[in-house]
Amino acid sequence: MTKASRVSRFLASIVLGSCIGLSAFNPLAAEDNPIKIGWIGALSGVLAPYGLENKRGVEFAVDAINAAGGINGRKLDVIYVDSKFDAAFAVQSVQRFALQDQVAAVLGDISSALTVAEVPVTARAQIPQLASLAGTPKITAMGSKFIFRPYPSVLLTYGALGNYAVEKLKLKNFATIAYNDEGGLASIQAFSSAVDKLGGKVVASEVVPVDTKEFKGILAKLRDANPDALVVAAAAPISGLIVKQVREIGWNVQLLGHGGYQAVQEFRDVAGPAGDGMIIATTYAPGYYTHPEAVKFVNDWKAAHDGKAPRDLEAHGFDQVNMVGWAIKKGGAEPIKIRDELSGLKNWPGAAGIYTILENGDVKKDVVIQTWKDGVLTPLELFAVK
Amino acid sequence: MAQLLQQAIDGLTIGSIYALVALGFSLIFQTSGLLNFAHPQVLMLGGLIGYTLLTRLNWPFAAVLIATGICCGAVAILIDVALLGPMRRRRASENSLIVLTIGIGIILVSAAMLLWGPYSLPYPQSSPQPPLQMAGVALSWKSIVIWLAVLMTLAVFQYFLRRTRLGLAMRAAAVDSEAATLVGIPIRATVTASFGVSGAMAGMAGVLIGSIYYASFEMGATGVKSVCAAVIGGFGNLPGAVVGGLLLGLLESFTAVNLSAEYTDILIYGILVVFLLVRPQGLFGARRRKV
Repeated sequence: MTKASRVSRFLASIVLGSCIGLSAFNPLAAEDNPIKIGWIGALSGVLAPYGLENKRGVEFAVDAINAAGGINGRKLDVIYVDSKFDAAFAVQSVQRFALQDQVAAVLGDISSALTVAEVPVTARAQIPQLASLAGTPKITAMGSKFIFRPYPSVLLTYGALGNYAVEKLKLKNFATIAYNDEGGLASIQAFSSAVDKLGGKVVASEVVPVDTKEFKGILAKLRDANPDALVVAAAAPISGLIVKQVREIGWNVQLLGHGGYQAVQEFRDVAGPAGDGMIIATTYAPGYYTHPEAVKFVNDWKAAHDGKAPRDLEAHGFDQVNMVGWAIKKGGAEPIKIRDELSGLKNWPGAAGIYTILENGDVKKDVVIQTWKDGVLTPLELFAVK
Repeated sequence: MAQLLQQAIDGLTIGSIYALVALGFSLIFQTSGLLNFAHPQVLMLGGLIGYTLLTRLNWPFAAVLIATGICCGAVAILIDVALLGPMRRRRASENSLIVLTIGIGIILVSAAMLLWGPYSLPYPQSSPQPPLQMAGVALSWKSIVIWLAVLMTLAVFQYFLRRTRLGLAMRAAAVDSEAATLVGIPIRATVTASFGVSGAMAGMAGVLIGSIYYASFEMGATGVKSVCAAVIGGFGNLPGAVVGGLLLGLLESFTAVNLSAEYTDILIYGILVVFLLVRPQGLFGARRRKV
């Protein structure tokens, strides 16, 4: 070994030793370090409105928690990643959350397809993942003990819609029209099985290609089955076109829908007055819950946003963070402990309702039945999910 | 019967959108020999520019249509002069040019998403006209308007190519650019003009489609099906592009209702494959002979 290489080895060992030493004795290394949380969702592309909405709620909760001194004295640090609606990129990002960032929990995704891709990663890394909006039943049927979905799945909302239509509206026969994608098909399946159990029947069912804009022929076929109501399960602008064309062919049928698709302004903008009167099972209505946590959230949000009421995914994003915060406060910031606490969450009062986490990680909470009246989304009643 | 008629109306309306885009593809192909994949995104840009002019500046619809046509014509010319021109001067291969147009298309979509956001933007409806109802069949005015738009675009393109000096020059340039140069036809200018004309028409079509459904950065997504329409009709043949578009629309509509939505794409692209294998010149195209 030459003299030069001996010197460089010596120096390298000093540098390495100091690094190890520093990390071992770093006063910020353990309890005072911020608790890292990974957020993944669409910040660009077609799902961006939903991703941005959810992110706003998450940020609001994080700011409030950090302003109050953090959780158990530790602040929250959320790393936001745009999933770009790219499954490979999303999986890689969640892997980075687990291996490099060492997050305590992952929030997201908001897309069903991407969440399905991410679930095995968080399961392997044993990090709790709280999905939002992603509605397919598959997510919580994959056997992961680390996936939670505090946002009601389509099974819950479309099931509740089915119950409401048969029990409250006394409707019997239904026609359905759905987008030819995972969310659309799962929605209709959930609705059908709910009405079946109560003696109702889906008498006609159609799926539509995802890129078409003319539906009158399909609607005329559904009309021939003479249903009492038509259930629409497609993304907001497409739903708007469908509903508009229902009225254009002179079909005066009761329309039924779901919050994620039709309780958004984009739907009403496209549908116009044809959207009025549609009965929609939604997961949130600001100012409709009376428990103190929900009231405080609406007041705080309005105060911080020029009197603007919070939206569905903003409220749920707020709850996602606070749910993790609640779990950390109870059991500590270890991912496994957070998972254990979340698994036992029952009657937890949040901004968007009273949550109970079911065994598979799904949530159970009441839905708010709403309708469009002269272009304004108007709550009708709170409907208990069975 | 009423149901079949309704499906036919749906099919012809959707097919007209494919036809409108296919016409632009065909015009540019006929004059420059280039498959311009950025073309459907010029239509998308038209839909969004039209939305802004209508909602922010409250311009009357006719003025919006003309202004958008001019804007989109200018964008298309810019694409040709600033991006494709230098590549051509460097004698880039046809494949490189096609890849470049795909890239330009992606840039346009991303830029539109940044400027207008990822939302669907419905045009303000002054007084929605109720559709005509006949024997259980609804024929909306929007369908009639879009059919007329296809016929008008076809007529404008045909007149332009067959009756105007520039149009004749374009055709000559497309058949044999070297011979056309020898007889004094300014090739570059004629190709640029074809980009301008097809861009302007695409922009106006975008406004029309936006006013009927809504505008969004995804409006150009019909581009691939429009290429299919152009291939089935006979690439470069203008009436062929219209027939191809309408056929695809009808096929899509009948399949979705009577078979299943899952089969529409398999059928459409399956037919494209069959055409490419059995009759690559399409329905109306002339078979190209190797010299």
